[in-house]
Amino acid sequence: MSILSIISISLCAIFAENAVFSQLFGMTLFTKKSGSIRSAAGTGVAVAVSMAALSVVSWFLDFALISPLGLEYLRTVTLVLTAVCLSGLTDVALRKKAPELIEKMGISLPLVTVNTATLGAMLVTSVSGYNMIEALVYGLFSGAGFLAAITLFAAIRERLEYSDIPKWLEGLPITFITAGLVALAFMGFRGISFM
Amino acid sequence: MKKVVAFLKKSVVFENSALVLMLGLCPLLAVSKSMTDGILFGVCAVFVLVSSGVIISLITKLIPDKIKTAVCMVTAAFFVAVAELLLHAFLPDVFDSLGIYLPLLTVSGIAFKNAETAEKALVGTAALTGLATGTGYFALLVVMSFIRELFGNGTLFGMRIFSEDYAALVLLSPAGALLLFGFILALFKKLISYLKEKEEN
Repeated sequence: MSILSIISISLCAIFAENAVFSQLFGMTLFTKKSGSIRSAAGTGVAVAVSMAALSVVSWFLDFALISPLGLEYLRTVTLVLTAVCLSGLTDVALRKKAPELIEKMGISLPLVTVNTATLGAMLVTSVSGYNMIEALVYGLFSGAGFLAAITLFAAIRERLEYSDIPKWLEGLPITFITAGLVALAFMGFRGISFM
Repeated sequence: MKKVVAFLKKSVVFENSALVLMLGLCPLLAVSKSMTDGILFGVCAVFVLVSSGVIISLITKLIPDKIKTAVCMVTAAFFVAVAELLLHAFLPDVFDSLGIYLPLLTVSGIAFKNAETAEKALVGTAALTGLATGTGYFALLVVMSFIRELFGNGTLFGMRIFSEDYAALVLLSPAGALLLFGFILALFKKLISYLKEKEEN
């Protein structure tokens, strides 16, 4: 493993394989929480942290449990169960130790941290054959990509509110069309071969 | 009968899980590249929603409140695993092209919402709710994958309809999926307001 492969994984995770705009991970959360920069940043941080942590956990599960015992057919169930349990435990711990943090974020942790973005990152690290460092780097930068995408997009949406939009596109339709245009821009990072 | 029709209308059109509640978007946008993938993914979704709804409504009294979320998700994950194994055995090509998006159905909100309704319902109602939710999702998958495959690639079910030179390749990319979904959403909003007006009169 060289420093070069780490750099390539991190650039790939944040730009070319951006969790939102090229993998379409976490679209539901992305649409619902990108209304204001504040809620977008809160959700983005929660998702980014859980993506980084759960990627490593997922690598460990694959390394210690799934691959040696030949349990590939139980991969989905194992990963989902682990993600739900871990975020539930974190929720309980945070409520005990730092109730004001939970209050500030205004979210129910298991519902935000177990979604297509986190499970997607877990599945990618689980099947890709990364080693531990690579899994950690992938999770960190993939999460950073999600955070960047949702925050930038929230800023665009805040500006959209003051612009003159055709009546039939107001609300969610224009949101998706804008997301499509941003995704088109992100395609530039992968070159022409997006197929 | 009238009640059933009204129920179906409500859950397929007025409360369409993807178009109105914005659930299950990630796999929907990702797998609708070709008709075969779209339709088979839709079938898997209906299967998962119906069977996990039935199981959850049967065991709901046995589950403590605190771990209800976990149980709902694991039940859905179990049926997704069943669907995965069946696809892997009989249609390996489709299994490969769906990739990691089939497991993502478990946590994509649509299964969770369905489980939440099933908790409070009897077995029959739970099955019907799963079927109706799944049908709405399935219909949207068919529409999206039809447009994307025909105009993005010039084929339908892999058969060539017109030359590749005239195809709008962008429709096959994630960007194309998002743009198309935006326009479908706008049309759907029109349809809903038209239907509501008609019902009021």
